Amino acid sequence: MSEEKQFCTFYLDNHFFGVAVETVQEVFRYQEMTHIPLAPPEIRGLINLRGQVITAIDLRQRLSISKLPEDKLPMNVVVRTGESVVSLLVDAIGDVLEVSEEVYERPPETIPEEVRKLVRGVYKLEGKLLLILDAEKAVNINTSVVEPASI
Amino acid sequence: MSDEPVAPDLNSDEGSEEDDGMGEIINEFLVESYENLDQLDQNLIDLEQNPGDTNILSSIFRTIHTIKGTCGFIGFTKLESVAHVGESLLSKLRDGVLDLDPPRTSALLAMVDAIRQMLSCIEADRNEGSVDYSELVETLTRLQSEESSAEPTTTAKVEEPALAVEEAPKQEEQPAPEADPEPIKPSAEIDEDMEPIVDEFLVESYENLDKLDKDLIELEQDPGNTDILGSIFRTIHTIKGTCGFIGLHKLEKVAHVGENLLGKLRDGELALNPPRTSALLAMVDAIRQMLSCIESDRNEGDVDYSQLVVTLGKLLTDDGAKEVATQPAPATAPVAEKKEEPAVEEKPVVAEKKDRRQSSPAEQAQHVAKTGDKRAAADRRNETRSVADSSIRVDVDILDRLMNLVGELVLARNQILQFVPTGADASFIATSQHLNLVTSELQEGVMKTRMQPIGNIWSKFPRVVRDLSMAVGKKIRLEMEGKETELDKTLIEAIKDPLTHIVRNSCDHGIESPEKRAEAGKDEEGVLLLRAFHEGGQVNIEIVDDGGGIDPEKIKAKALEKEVITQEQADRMGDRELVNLIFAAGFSTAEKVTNVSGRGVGMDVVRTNIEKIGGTVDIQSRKGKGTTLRVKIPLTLAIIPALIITSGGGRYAIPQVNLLELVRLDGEEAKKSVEQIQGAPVYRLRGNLLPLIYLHEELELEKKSEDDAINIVVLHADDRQFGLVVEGISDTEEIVVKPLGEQLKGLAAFSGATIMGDGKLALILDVMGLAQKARVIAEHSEKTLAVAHSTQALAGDRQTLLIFGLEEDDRMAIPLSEVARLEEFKRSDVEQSGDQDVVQYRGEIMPLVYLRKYLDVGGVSPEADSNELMQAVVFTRNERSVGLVVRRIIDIVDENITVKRGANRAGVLGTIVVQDRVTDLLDIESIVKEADPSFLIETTELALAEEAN
Repeated sequence: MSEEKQFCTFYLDNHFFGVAVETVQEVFRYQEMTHIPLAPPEIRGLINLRGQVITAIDLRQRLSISKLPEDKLPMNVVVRTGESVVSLLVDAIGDVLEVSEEVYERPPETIPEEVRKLVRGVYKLEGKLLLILDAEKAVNINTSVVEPASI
Repeated sequence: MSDEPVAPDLNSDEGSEEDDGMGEIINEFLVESYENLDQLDQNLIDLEQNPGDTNILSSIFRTIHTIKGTCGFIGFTKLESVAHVGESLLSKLRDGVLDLDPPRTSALLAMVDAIRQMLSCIEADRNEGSVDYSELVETLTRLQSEESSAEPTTTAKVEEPALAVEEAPKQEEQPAPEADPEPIKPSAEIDEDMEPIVDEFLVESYENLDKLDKDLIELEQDPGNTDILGSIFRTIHTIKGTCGFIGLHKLEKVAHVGENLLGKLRDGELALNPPRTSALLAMVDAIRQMLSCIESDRNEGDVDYSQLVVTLGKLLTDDGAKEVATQPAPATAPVAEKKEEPAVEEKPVVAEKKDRRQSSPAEQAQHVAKTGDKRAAADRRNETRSVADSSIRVDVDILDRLMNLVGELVLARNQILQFVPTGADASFIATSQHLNLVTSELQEGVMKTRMQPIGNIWSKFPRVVRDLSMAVGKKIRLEMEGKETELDKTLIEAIKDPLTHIVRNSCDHGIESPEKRAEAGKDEEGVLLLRAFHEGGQVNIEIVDDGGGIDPEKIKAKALEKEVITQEQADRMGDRELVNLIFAAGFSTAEKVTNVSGRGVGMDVVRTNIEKIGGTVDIQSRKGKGTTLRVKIPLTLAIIPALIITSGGGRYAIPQVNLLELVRLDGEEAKKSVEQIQGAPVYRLRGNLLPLIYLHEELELEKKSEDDAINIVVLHADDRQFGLVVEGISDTEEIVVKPLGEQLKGLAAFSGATIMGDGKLALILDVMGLAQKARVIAEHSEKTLAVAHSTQALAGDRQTLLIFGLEEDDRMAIPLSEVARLEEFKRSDVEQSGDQDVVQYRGEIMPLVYLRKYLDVGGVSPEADSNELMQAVVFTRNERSVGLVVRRIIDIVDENITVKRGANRAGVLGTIVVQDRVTDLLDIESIVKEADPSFLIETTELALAEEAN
């Protein structure tokens, strides 16, 4: 029983990532962002996507990977999770891959905590590993200290 | 009697609750009835003021009658029986047989409530609910028989339309009187007050008639279909009922015989055959004809329909039907033609009918002339627009989408306009100007579609005021001005609750008891005035009472007692500022708490809610003279005017509502005018000190411009003024508010974003949030213990925390704003109440919560602790306190806190790092709730009660 799953893939530093293809709304090149003062460093800014205001999240920051060199511009992977639409900034965009469940494995305990939290699993592809990003967790950045107490 | 014959054949056949078709009918019925009920409340109150006003009475009667008729048809027998007795009582009132007195009014209002209750049950569960209304029915019945000496004939006559449903089947035994072509008296002109009712009736009826035509044709194809028959019957019945009430007797007569025939068809006593169908179609045409006469001339016209009435009457029996069939020409044939072109074909029909009745030529001529007149009138009407065509119902979702699209268009327009100066092409300039104009008009037009008169929510206030004044024994007259003032639908919804609260407050606390008023030399009856008007692109709503006013000294004393302000602050405050303290959280001045309003969570919630929609609320009061509350809200939320400013290289929008004025200081002046008080910059604005905030500092940005000039944007938030120092001021612009993503909700400084003309984004500053963050308005709220503010504070970045420990080496924190006091108790002071440890504290009994036990920290059990003194953190709400027993109080820190780890056990909100130490942030709410479940109930209940209103 080899179930096939589709992932939209992208590169971050030397890692190869994927997100479930059905969560991806679109992919586009670098676009100028509006800086948001006071926002946490993971939030790079706001993007005007055809009249819609979208928050851009720096995935490198989020995964505690070193910053992208100044001369390179990130690309946008727009994901839709629940109600919100968020753009993930990545280094480069790969193909949409169809992978078999047979090569799936849970993320090993040894990878850094920051990464493991956001990775659902690993697909052992030929020559490289595909890390599956948990988009929902990745975009869940809470800027408030605590949820306002319910009264 | 109320077991109507209509529903069973629908329900019993189906066996299930209802089929889909019914569901639709029920939804329609619900929407209609809710609207009607609001109107009803208002009417009943009006009526109590003017008991003799037959117009109001008739309007009420009609509403109840409609509800009764419809629910009888759908099969809601309980609802019908309630409406039925109400209707009977109303009909007696209308005919002057009985007088309206307070018990009757109350009973009628109770009936309205009962109906509303049942409607909501129907909406939720599709049945009437299990509440027993027999007592209400009894009361209503008793109230009509108290003066049973009244002539029974009058009542009987009035009830006729109502009872017709039940009577219809019986009438077969004596069809003659019904079908008797008695000369129909020319109808009177319609009363002017009735106009709106008549218009409504027309719209409704036209819709119904179109459906009727279709139904009848369908029915002919499928004569056995009781669903269709039921629907037709209902439509005709509604028309009949309404026109009987408006006084359109001729129309009523025609509808009535039609209804009789339909009743029999539906009950299966008669079969539908072509003559009957034709006669019914003729009836529909006749009704349509009369309606158009009513629309143009406000009377039923002079056409004589007695022949049609006879025909319909004859068709009630099979013998009669045969008779009609043998002389087909007069009734059916012309009618069939008429159907295609009613207005034009009508003349020959009339002539023919007249001929048959051997009228004199003169009379005939006169008739033709009159019909001619009528046709002219009809032409005139075509030039304008018929009532039915002038309004349609539109789904709100569609309007919302339109609104969004228009927002986009506005943005696109702004973008295009920016290119205009560079492109020199004249026709391009002209085109873009045109685009500009059209877009503005479109925006305005679409906005208008979402506008609703404020009267829609005011209509329930007479009821609120009446019930309240009865409950507290006051006399209050409610006056309203500017009911027609319009504002956006979403805003209408949003201000409903705050306004209700204010009105209740004014009745409860504002207006004095009749005795007190008499003492003060005022009229015993207090006046509460609601006034709404447009001003400066905003809607102003004033709630004015002529009551006792607010005593600033009392407020001051109370505020000091509740520690809402410090003595020092109190001394500095003017009367106006003091009065506005009633909006501070945790404040209530009512000496005795009534069940009506005022338990301290009132007015601050009102203000929070109003400010949430970009509005402001202000109070002015003169002791002994009364109080005026002024609420200002924007016309719409989606598009707002804003000032665009720059700071630290970025552009920001400041909503115009918060803007007071702009001040620019150049060169030397700039250096001299900004003074420092203990490091806090201030500016003297016309003699008053204006605290200054530097935007780039607040936003932690680098100052970009080297300009020495200082631009101060004077803003107000929470009734405080402050100056926001920005680097540049651009322009005011209409901006479209776009919400920020979930990830940014926690940033109090911004309320949204907008897309600028160049396609780039700008953040919209949340003036309130900014002011709180910068602590310009925090002086008094810091000490506030109540919920609203503490949650706001929680959402902010910096917090003052109380650090304490339960063991030797642990650290826990709670926001200081939650803490009322820190106390020490002797262990020997602890007493027992049930299984709860309590201490006497400030004349009250305060339960103690052993945090260590609660959090299950372990270690030494609190009882066995050797310390003689216990440290307690007192948490107070609604004048009730709970003491949290801790081991040691460590410190109070002002810290930038970020939750590092989510909660992993009950009672802990999360883990934070304070002073480089891991610290648990306690969830005080849940701890207190756990320890004393009743503690928060009062607040919750009140909040719920407020919501329910």
